[in-house]
Amino acid sequence: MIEFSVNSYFYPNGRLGLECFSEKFEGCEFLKGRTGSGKTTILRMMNGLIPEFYGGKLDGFIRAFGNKPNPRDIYYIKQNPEEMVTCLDVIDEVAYPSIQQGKKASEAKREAEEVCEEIGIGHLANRKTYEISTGELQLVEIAAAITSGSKFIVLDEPFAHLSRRNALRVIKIIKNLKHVVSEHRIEFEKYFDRTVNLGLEIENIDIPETEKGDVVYNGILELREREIVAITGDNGAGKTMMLKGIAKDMRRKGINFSILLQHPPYHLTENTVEKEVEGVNREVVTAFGLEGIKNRHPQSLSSGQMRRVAIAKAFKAKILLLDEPSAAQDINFRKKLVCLLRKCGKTAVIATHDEELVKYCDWRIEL
Amino acid sequence: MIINSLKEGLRGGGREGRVCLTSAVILSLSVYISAMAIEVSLLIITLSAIVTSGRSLKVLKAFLPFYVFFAITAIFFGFQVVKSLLAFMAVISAGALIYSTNIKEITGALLYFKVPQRVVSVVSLAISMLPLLVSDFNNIREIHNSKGIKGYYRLLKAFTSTTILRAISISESLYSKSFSYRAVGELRQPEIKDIAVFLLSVLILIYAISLEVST
Repeated sequence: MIEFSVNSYFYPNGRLGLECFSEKFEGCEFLKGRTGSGKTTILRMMNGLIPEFYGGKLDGFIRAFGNKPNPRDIYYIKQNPEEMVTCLDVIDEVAYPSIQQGKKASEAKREAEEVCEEIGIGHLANRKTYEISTGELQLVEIAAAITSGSKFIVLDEPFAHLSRRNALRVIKIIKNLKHVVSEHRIEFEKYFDRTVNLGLEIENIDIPETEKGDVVYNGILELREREIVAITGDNGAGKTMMLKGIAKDMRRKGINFSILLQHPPYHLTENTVEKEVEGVNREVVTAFGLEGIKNRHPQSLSSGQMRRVAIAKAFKAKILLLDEPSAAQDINFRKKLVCLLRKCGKTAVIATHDEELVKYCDWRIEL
Repeated sequence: MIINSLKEGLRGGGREGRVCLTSAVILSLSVYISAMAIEVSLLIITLSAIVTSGRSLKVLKAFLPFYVFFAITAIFFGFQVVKSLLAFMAVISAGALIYSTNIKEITGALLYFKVPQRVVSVVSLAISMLPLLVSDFNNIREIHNSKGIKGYYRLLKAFTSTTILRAISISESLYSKSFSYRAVGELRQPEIKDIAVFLLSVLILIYAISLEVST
């Protein structure tokens, strides 16, 4: 059991991370909240990343199984499993935490093989970590957590980059383990015993209708002015490849467009948020909540905020190619994004797993 | 191109780790001892190409921009530059011998030669990060593809900041994985082919020494 009694926590840069939070986590909980409501801060506190790794000022206490939180008891899996990779071979990756805890390599590998078989990823054991899909990598990291013998697994937005099929597979696997999942895709909330809500309220946003204009791109697909198209499909189906292909074709044809890939720091090259979004419609900047952070360095923001800056920056072009824009964003953002695209008369192609977002698009391509 | 070729090298090969590591060191030393003798450089380039089944040549190709630099320098310094160019290619070829084994065996070899675990674990982590960095670099290049100094500056800035953020993220993951600098490698008995590679490397070293002694 993980017990929280936190009055306040400030990150080393003085930013308030969490305030007045008291809760007991028993396992199989779903944590939801607005972007920036402190979900990741809570997860980081569970295994001691905060304050042991991050520093900062914590007023209050956290107890994990009666002790000070530590990574041996609580295993934290990040939103982007690529950033968890420590080995080139899958089997070594699964055995890695156990080896770091002092277990003999041969024993750790044998256990890793057993766990891989148990959770149905035995066929991945001899593959390279950089050759498998994000969904498969997520399962590999869960296997590593099980092999390490952790008492509790904490997952930060595990479904952000997964198809529905893969997300349900992850849920099935973690069902028998004590776990907390922090997630924006609230359609999966029903699969958990309890929900902890950090103040998420569903806003009522009306999406305006728009008249479609002339064909602005005719290549890999046909795209009309002010049209919003969704590309969907399982992990590894080729959504990002298709988006990149369209970008390459548009570049060759001299069409004005901007592309947003899944990792927002790729796009941020200025020293302040204000400079990044210079020339962007003020309504977009305000709706994305960037006014309050306009003087901050883009790379110092949370991943959710960085993504919003990168999306706002993409609004400079007439056509937007967006790869998973709703990842790390709360439920209201999906409607807000489509609403702004419509209001600003933009044309967009969106590669996504998010069925909610797909609902608001004009049509979809299923890969 | 260089980063991509490094990633290509991660696929590994069938040679034994300790042999590859010692042969790479011996061959690099041979270039230095022979005072960059052309025949020694050519021998090393050929040996490496055979042992790595031509992969070392791909690595050499990746360094093409440097050869242009050598070519320009040759206008001013003449034949000496050809020697330096071949020596440069020989050292890269010697390093490319690592491509003929797999990373786990290299880690095993480093541990066998009593390199501290701290160093080995950091080296192996850095290698594991390589595929991610290659994919980051390719993605950033696709986004910031505008030409000119400004375009390259933006690309460099985005790549540098992405790499720093990745490093922070990975250190966070290491904390979560109870990282304690423990390194694990693999060792196995060298085969006849491995011993042949080692003996050929030693022969090249002896030849390099004899050249130096005779002059």
